[in-house]
Amino acid sequence: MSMRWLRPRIRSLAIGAGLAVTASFFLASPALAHGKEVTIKLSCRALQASAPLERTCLATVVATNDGDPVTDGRLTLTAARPGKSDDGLAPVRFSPEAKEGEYVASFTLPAYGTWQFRVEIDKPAEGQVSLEQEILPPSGSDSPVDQVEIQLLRAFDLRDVANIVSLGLHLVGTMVILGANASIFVMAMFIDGPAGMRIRRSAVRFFPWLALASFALLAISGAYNAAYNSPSSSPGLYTPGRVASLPFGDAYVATFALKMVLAGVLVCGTGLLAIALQKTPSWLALPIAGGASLGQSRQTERLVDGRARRSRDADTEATTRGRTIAVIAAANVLDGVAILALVLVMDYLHLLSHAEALFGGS
Amino acid sequence: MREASIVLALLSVLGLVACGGGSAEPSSPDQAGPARETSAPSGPRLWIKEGGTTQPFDNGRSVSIDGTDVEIYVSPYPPGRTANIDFYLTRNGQPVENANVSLQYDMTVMDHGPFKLLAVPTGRGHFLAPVEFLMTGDFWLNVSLSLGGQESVISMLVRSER
Repeated sequence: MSMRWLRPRIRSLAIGAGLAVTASFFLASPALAHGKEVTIKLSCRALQASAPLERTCLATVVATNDGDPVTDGRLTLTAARPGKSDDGLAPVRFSPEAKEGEYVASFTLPAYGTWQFRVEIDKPAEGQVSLEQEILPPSGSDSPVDQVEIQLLRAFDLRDVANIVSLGLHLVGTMVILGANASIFVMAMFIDGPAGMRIRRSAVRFFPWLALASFALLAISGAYNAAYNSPSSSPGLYTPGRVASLPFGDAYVATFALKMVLAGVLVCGTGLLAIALQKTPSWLALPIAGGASLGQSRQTERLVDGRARRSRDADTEATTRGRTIAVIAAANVLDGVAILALVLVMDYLHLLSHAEALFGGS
Repeated sequence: MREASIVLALLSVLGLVACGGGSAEPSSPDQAGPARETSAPSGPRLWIKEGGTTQPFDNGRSVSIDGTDVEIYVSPYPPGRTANIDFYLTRNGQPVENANVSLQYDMTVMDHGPFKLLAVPTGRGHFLAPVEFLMTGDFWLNVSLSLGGQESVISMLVRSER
């Protein structure tokens, strides 16, 4: 009896306690809403790569404890550029997407740079999430400008005329000095007899002045070319460091230095040849009647025994000097050919320095 | 003999003159532009000339000229053989739309041009200039801003690399 009475009481108490706990849970939920933990995933991107300032941010909000999407969230986005004095972006309110728990905000940033996006949620929980992105102008295939008119401002002017004239004068000077040395070589080796003597005497007279004029021309035009006809802009080779900074520039400067050494050797060799010509009687003397040389005619006044011997000595000396002249002239010509070869190398290196522009680089 | 000596002396002088071009002292890199930093790829790639001096310039920095703030962004950065340069013009914080922005540029150590191009207005104060540098190296850029009949020039240096 008592047990029967007791059981309904216990059942009632148990039911009542259960209802009380349940009721307290639901009542407590609004209060806990401020402390409710939600997880926000934020991603921002440009819908079009050609317009990176026009961006869309997607926020996904889920409850942290069970991962359920939060459908009644209220989110606001703000953006600013750290270190910049501008006002940043005015607050943007997110709109719920069709998919539960997703919110989207679209906006246009005023400027490029490093932007810090901050999304704040004030319902159903309070909190924020930040995202930093560097937004640069579009480039390459993303560039919104696929055509642009580039104007070349350079025109053919007096400077170009002067450059061509200077190159031409340098070439003329080179041809003259090499031609003069080559002519002396040919005279020394292959031209003989009375007619040859006259030519040799003329060569002795004119060679130094021709060489001098050629070198003067080469020096003046070379000084100009070094400034205006070199791979780098003026002052060109007078600042070798600038030339060396170009692709293959080191090799160009080294080749140019070698060229100048050989040019110095050519100057010295040509001067040596001019002196040798002045000292060689067979290049100075005019032929006398009967075909005997001046030296030989003098020797006829000597004693018969010594005459033949001295004549032989004079011939030997003349032959030796003649060979010396031929050797110096040949060396000068070879030196000049080597200089021309170096000029070709320099032109090729100059071309190579542009290879990147001609053939592209990776 | 005397004649030959005179000629030899003159030839020697000419030789020295001719060699003079090649023996000039190397110039300071500053003459051509900014100093090279081959060992530091993260070094500056932009410079601006202000008050007669060339100073490194951070990508995205603003320069104020004749009352107009110009924010300059180079993309990609570091700049390659081609780069888009954005000029963001503002006055008193407001974008400037009615302006013309044009560029003249060429390499500092080689003459290829100079070239001139007109930056394309892309709206809200932005002007985009797609620049082709032709080669890797240092390029000078003169940026002309034409605004309300007034023209201002910003002088920059850009180092393009592969």
